[in-house]
Amino acid sequence: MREGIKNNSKGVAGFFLDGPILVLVIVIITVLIAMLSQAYIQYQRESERAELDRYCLDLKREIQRHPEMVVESENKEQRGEFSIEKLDELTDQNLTENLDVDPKYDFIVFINHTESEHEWTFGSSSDVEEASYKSSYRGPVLLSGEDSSTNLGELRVVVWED
Amino acid sequence: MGGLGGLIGGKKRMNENGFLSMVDASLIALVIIVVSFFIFQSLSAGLFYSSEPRRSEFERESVIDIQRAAVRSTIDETGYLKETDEGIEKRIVYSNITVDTAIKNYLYLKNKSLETDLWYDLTELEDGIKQQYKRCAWDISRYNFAVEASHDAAELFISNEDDIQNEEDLPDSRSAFTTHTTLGMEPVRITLYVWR
Repeated sequence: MREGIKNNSKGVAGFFLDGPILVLVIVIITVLIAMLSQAYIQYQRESERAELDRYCLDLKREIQRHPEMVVESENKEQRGEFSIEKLDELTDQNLTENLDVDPKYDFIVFINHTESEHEWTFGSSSDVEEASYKSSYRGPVLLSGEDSSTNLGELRVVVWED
Repeated sequence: MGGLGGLIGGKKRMNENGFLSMVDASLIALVIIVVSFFIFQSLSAGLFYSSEPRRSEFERESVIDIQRAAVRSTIDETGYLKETDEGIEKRIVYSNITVDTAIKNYLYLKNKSLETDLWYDLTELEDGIKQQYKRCAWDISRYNFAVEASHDAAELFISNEDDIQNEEDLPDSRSAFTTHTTLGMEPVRITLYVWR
């Protein structure tokens, strides 16, 4: 057998000169590259989404304990209720300056009073509709009025990459 | 001619030039493509960044928020019916009571009716609790829910789904969160289950 290979005048390149084999090799390589690219793109997309989702939850937790938004007792204890009075006074600048999250993504925060349907909105002014993927969290919260009455509200946090 | 077993055996499957035959090469190619396909598929499906754990994290966060908001939220008006000594039904009304208090009242009255001959109709109280949980869990967060609480022989189990009557009916993929309160001097656990 070794003798046969040595005497082969076509050499190693001869293998690839065999038409059908060459086509087969090209097809395999193309399919593998296509699958690898697809897997990589999917991996990248999922990792970006995971990052956005993590950011959304971190931001939501930060909002729920933000001293400019929630009710605090004299010794700074929080009960997890949003203060209507504080929300009325809060500005976007106050909110973003005191947030302990990296401002690498755009976000918008909606707090809605379910009975009066009054809504407070804070955050980015860029258009959320243009984002290809956005992470959002929606949950119930309690809103505390000046007379210490407690009402049900809705907190919605939307995060996206501009 | 072809055959994977033969390929592993080696020499016999090579042609006179010392190369694999077309059939054997095709078989190798097929095996490579199939194996690669499954490897890349699992990568594409998010082997490292699956969205499922992230959804679970959102659900765990939601169940905590729903339970905390629901038990402390107030029911504008609810009540129950009781039979007086004269045999007349009398409606007792509660205004602006928290869900937490409503649950404790329900358990207390249910226990009382089980231990004595007193008759209570607690449907309205149960509906008030259910409506408040529905607002928090379904209307706002879009989760199905069930609430379970018990004290002595009294039990409360409510859900927005009619076919869920007890804990055993709950789906496996659910999240739960329990808050603790006291009735008299005894602890009462209120557990909320949510799922989609």
